[in-house]
Amino acid sequence: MVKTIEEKIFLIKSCPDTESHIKVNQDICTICTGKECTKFCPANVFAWSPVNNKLIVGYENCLECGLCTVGCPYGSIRYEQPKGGFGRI
Amino acid sequence: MKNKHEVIIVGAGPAGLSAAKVLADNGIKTLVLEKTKKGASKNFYSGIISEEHMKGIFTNFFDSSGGKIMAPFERFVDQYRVYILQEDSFTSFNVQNNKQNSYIVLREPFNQWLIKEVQKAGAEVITETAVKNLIINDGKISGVKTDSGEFFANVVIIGEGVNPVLTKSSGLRAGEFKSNQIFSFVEEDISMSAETIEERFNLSPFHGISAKLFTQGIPDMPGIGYIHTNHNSISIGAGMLFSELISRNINPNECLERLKEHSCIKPLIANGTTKNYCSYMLPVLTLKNQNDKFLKLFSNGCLIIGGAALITDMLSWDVSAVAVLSGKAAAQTVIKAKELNDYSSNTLSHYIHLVKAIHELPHDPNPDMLNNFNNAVLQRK
Repeated sequence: MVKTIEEKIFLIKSCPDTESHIKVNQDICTICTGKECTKFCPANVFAWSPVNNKLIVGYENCLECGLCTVGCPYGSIRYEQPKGGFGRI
Repeated sequence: MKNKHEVIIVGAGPAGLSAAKVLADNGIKTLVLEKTKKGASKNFYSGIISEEHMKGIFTNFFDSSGGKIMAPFERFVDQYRVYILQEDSFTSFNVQNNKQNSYIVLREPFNQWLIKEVQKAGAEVITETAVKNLIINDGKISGVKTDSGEFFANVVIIGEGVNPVLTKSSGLRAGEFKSNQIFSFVEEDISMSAETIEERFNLSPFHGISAKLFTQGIPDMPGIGYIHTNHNSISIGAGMLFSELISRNINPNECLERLKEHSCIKPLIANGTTKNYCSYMLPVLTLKNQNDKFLKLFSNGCLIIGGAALITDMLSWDVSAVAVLSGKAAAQTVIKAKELNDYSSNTLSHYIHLVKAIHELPHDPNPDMLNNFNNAVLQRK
């Protein structure tokens, strides 16, 4: 039986847009010490890249639950509605 | 005016479609706008529908003789079961339900049936159309801007669910939840044969179980969960107060995996194949315990229903019942406004009284109940 988020996301039907519906303020993310979003997101949308010193947003995996805007302690994540027919279909 | 309807409903979920059905049945020209292809497709997969509220709105719920259910369902709810899980033991009890008056449904086919019924009643449903903004003229909400054009109406009813992007961006809700005001849930749909389900849960064909799981006895998992037996799959979900989850550095999926590994649950789902996964939040902060300044339930030319209006009931068996009732209440409010030909906030404020009556139904969901589960469950049944 599948266990990991990656395995589960693979099962889901979605139609990603070419542009992200989740926008982050990199200036804030850079100085954020907790990087909570990289832990609590049930789709692992957020990953910190130390090489690029920025937050990578894998919006294609998004389950559209909206936890990210609640969980970010600095209000750095802006969630917009994906366009009609895009995202979770 | 081009694209003019009497009412626009944003979101084809249980709340929005219930509103649409009541409005269309009363001859009101109604348009439902839905972002996805099928509506209600991104939240939970499985749920309980009690006929009590549904059959009055969706009159084709039963066939004309009143005997045979016409809506697509998985199994009758034969038993309500409560599991209280400890680290490596559990207690459970059953409440037998012989009335065959509530049903386990998969949201996707059930929602599509609701959409068809709404269309048959005369409402228009446009899918794959996301509402971006409200159109405001002279202080009155008079329509919506979508990614495929503008639509106008006397009233806009917002039923966009518990992640209400439009409600927030239009200022009807003041800001974001705090992390201790919501539960985060993930759910998985695990397929196995109908015979296996019936054997494991000791069920007759077409009979099913809806179970609530209280998991605070498991270390680091002070939350709740649920299991529904569908026809040939089992839906299992796990949730925790979001602030608890963050402070413990746990991912919602880990929460679910721990539940799946529990000695009580593991044998029930063994050898199944996961076919779906979803995530959603449910507010602990509901309409009843919110500060009036946080959310406006109505405005000039606008009403908010269902999850977007914090009209949710996490511990209920039929989680969508209050959403359905709020949709009906909004429709009744609009029917009255039409009689008076006045869609101002003054007339629409009538909605508040109807919504209050919904929340006086059985009980008040309250996070304290997690420490008081016996009460919660026994009061309910």
